[in-house]
Amino acid sequence: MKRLIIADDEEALQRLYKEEFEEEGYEVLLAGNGKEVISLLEDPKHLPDLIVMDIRMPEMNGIDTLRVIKEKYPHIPVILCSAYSEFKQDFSVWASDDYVVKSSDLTELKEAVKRHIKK
Amino acid sequence: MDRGIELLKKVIQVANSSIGFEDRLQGILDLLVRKERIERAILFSIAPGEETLELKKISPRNISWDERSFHMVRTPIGDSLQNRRPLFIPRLNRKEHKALIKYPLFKGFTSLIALPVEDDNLLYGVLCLLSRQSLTPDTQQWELLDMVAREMAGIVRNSWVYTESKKRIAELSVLYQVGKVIGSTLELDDLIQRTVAITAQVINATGSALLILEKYSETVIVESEFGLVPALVKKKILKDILDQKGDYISSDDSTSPSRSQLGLPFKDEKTQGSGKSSRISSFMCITLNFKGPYRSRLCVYEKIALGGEPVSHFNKDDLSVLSTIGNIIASSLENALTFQKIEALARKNEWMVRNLSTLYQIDSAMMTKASLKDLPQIILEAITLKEGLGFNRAVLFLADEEKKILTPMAWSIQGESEKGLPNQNREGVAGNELSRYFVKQAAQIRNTRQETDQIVNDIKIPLTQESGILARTFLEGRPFLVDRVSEDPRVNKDLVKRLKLDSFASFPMYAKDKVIGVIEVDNFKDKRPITEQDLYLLTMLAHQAGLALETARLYAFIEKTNEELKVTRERLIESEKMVAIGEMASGLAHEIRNPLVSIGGFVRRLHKKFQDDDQVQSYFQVIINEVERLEKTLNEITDFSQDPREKYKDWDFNRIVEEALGLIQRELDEGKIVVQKKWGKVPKVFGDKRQLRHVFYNLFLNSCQAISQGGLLTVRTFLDKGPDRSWITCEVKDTGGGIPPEVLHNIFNPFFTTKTHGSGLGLSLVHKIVTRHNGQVDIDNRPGEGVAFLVKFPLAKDAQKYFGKIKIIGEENHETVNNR
Repeated sequence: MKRLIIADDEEALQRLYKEEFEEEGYEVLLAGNGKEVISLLEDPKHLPDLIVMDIRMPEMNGIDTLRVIKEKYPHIPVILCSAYSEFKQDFSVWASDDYVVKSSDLTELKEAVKRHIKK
Repeated sequence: MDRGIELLKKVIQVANSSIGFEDRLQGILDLLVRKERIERAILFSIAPGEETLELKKISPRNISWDERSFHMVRTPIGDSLQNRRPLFIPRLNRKEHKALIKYPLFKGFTSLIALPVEDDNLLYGVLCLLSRQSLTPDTQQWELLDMVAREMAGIVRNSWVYTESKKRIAELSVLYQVGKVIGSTLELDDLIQRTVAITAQVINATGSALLILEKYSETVIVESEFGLVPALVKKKILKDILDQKGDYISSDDSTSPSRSQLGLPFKDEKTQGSGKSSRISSFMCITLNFKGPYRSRLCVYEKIALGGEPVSHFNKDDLSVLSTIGNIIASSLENALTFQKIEALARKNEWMVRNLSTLYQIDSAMMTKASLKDLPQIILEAITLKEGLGFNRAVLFLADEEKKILTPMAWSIQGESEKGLPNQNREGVAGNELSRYFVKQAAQIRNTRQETDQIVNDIKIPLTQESGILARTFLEGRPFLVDRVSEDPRVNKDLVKRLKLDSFASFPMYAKDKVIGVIEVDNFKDKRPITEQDLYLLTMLAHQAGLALETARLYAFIEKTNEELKVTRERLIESEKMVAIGEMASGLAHEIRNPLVSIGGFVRRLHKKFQDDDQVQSYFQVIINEVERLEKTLNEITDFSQDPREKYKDWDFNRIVEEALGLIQRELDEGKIVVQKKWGKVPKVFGDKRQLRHVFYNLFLNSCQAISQGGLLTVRTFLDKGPDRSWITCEVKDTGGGIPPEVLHNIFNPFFTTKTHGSGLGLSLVHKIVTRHNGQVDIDNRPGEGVAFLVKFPLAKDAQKYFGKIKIIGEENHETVNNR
C-alpha cells in the first residue's frame, strides 16, 4: 500500500484529504505544518511514497519544508497544494514535482498523486 | 549886370528847373554856346576805371556824329581829368594835339577848354568847349566856367541819386508784389504757379519757368511755367541745373559778347517744320539756393519791348531784380516743399493710424475667439465688412499638404450678413466694440448660411505653378495683384469664371516662416480697384491671420493632447486601482478558498454516500455546483494578479517612476506637497511595466499619506554601482516623521497597517513585486524626520541572465530559489 503524507493546517481539509485518499487505497499520514512533516520523515517506518503539502502553514511553511525535503529526501516526490494559484508557475518549475491549486473537486490532485507515484 | 553873373544866374535857373536831368544838361550846354562865344559844347560822361569817355550831350544839337566814345588815355584831356584840373589848348592845330584833332567832333576847331565835371567826391565826366577862334579866357571866365561845371556835376549826381532811388522803389515794389504773392499761400502748387506768374510780370518777360530737382536722385519734383515756354528752353534749364551753372543773361544782341557762348537764339525743333519762328532773343536764368536737398533754377525769356522800342533785352538791373525775387521765393518754396512733405507724412500717418487701428481691432477679434473653427470666418468678415477693410469678397484657402491642394476654408461676401453696427458712425466705434462686431458677424454667418454656395465650396486648386495665381501665391510666398484678369495669362480661367473676377489680389498666410494658406480678395461688385495701400494692409492682415490660425491650431492641438492625457491618466489610475483591487481580492481569495474547499469536498463525499436518495442528491448537487461556481470566480480573481513573467521587457526606469508620480498628482496637489525630482542616468530595467509602476505608485501614496499636512517628497533615481553588481535604484524620501521602530519589521507584511484606513497590502505588494523582479527594498528610517525607501532592481541585462539561470537550476537541481 502506498503511503502519503498530507500536510495542511486546516483540520477540516486534513479530514477531507484523509477520507478521500484512504478511499482511493492509500495509507495517509497527516501533518499540521512543516515541522510535523519533517518529524514524520525522521521515522523510517513513516517514509512516504509522496508528500502533498500546503504552502501557508504556521511554524514552518511549505517552502522551507520543501527545501529540507529536497535536501534530505530528494527521491520523495512533493506535490504542493495551495490556495495561491499565482505561485503555480514558480513552484512547478523550481522545486516541487507538481503544484495543484486547492479545489473542492479533488480529481486533479488525485491524478497528480497517481502520476507521480507511478514514476 | 556882369555878363558872367547873368550866365551863372541862367545856369542855376536851368539846373534847378523841373525839367528832366538830361534836358537840364542840354540846356546848360546850349547856354554856354549861345552866351560864351563858344561854337561847340560837349559833355562826356566817365565811368570809374574806364579809359574812354562816353558822349552824353552835345550843343548845338543838330550835329551828327558817328562815334560816341572818345579814347582819352594819353591825351591832354585824360591828363587833366587825372589831375582834376581844367585844360586850355589855345591852338589845337599844333602837332602835339594830333590825337585830339583826330576825334571827329574836335576837327576844325582852334581852341579847346576842358573842365572836369566833379564835386568833392566824384568825377562824373568832362565838359569840352570848342571854338574856331582863339580863346583867351580870363580869371573871371575860368571861375565862371568852373562854377558851371560844378553845377553840371550837381545835376549828374542828382540824376544818379534819382535813378537809384527810382530803382530802389521799383525793387521794393517788386519785393512787395512778390512777397504778397508768396505770403498768400502755403500750398506748393499754388505757390509755384503764382511765383512764375509774378516773376514774368515784374521782369516784363514773355514767359518764365521754374524747375526744382531733388538733389541726389536728380528727379524733377516741381516744374512750372508761365506763358508758353518752348520745350527747348525747358531742356536748357534742366541742363543748366545739372551743369550747376551760375546766373546769367543771354541775348542775341550784336553787342552782347556772350551770345555765341550761350547758344542763343533757341530754335524749337518742334515748331521748325511749321515755319513758325520761335526765336528767343533774350534769356535770363538764376539759381535758387535751398538749404534742403534741392537744386532749382528760375528763368525768364523774351523781354517785352515797352514804349515803342523795337527789341528789348534783359539787362543787369533785370538780373538783379530776378535775383532778389529768387532769394525771396527760395525760402518760401522751401517752406512749401517742407510743408508738402509734412502734409504727405501727416496724411500717411493718419492713414496708418486709421488702418492700424482697424487691424488692431481685427487682431483683437482674432484673439478673442481662438477657436480654429471660427477664426477664418472672423478674419474674412473683417476684410469684407464696411467697418473693416470693406472689400466685396474674400476667400480663405488652406493648404492640404498631403493632397497638395488648396481648398476654401471660409468665404465672405460684403452685405451677406451685414446689419450694420448699432452705432453707425465708424469713428464713434469705441475700442473692442468693433472687434466684438467682427466676431458677432462671423457667428451670424455660421448660423444662417446654407452650405449651398457651390461657387466657392468645392474649389480645389492643385499646388503647382501651372494652376494659377493662388497656387503661386502659396508656392512663392508673396502677394499677387492682378489688375486685368482677361489680359493676364497666369490666371486660372475656370476660377475666374466661377468667381466672376475682373481683378483680384492674393496673399500668403504665414505661420512661423511657413505658408499655410492663401487669402483671395476682390471687389467683384463695385469694381473698385485694389490699390498699393490695400495691398500693404492686406499683407499685414494676412500675416496676422496666419499667426492667429497657427495659434488657434496649436491651442486646439494642446487642448486635444491635454484631453488625451487626462483620459490616459484616468485609465492609468483605473488600471492601478484594478491592480490594487486584484491584489486585495487575491488576498481575500486565499482566505475564502480553504473553507470553500472543505465545504465542497465534504458535500461531494455526502453526495457519494447518499446516492439512493434522489431528493438529497439533488440538494447536494446544487451545493456542489455553487461551490464550483465560487471556486471558478476565485480562480478568475487570483489569475488577475498573476505575474505575466513571459511578458517581461526592458523599460525606461525614469519614465516608469515619472508615470507613477503622475498618478498621484491629485494627492500631491491636495496635500500641498513639494516634489523634488532628480533623474539620474540609469540603464533599462527588466520586468512588467504595470507592476513596476505599481511599486512606485504605492510608495508615493504611502509617502503622501505620511505628509498629508504638507512636506517634501524627494524622488531620485541613480545607478548604485556595487563591487560585484550594480542596482538601478530609486530613492523615495519623505519628511513624514519616519516609522516607529517597534513596527518597522512588520511593514512589508500583508494586512499590516498603522493607518485607520487602508488595506495594509500596499507595502507588502511593493515588497512582493520587487522581490519578484529580483530586486530589493532597503529602508533608511529616521524617526522624527522621515523615511527613505531605496528600491533596487538589477540591470536588465543581469536580470535576464538571472531569470534564465533560475529555470536551468530549477529543472536540473530542484533547488529552491528564495526570493529574498
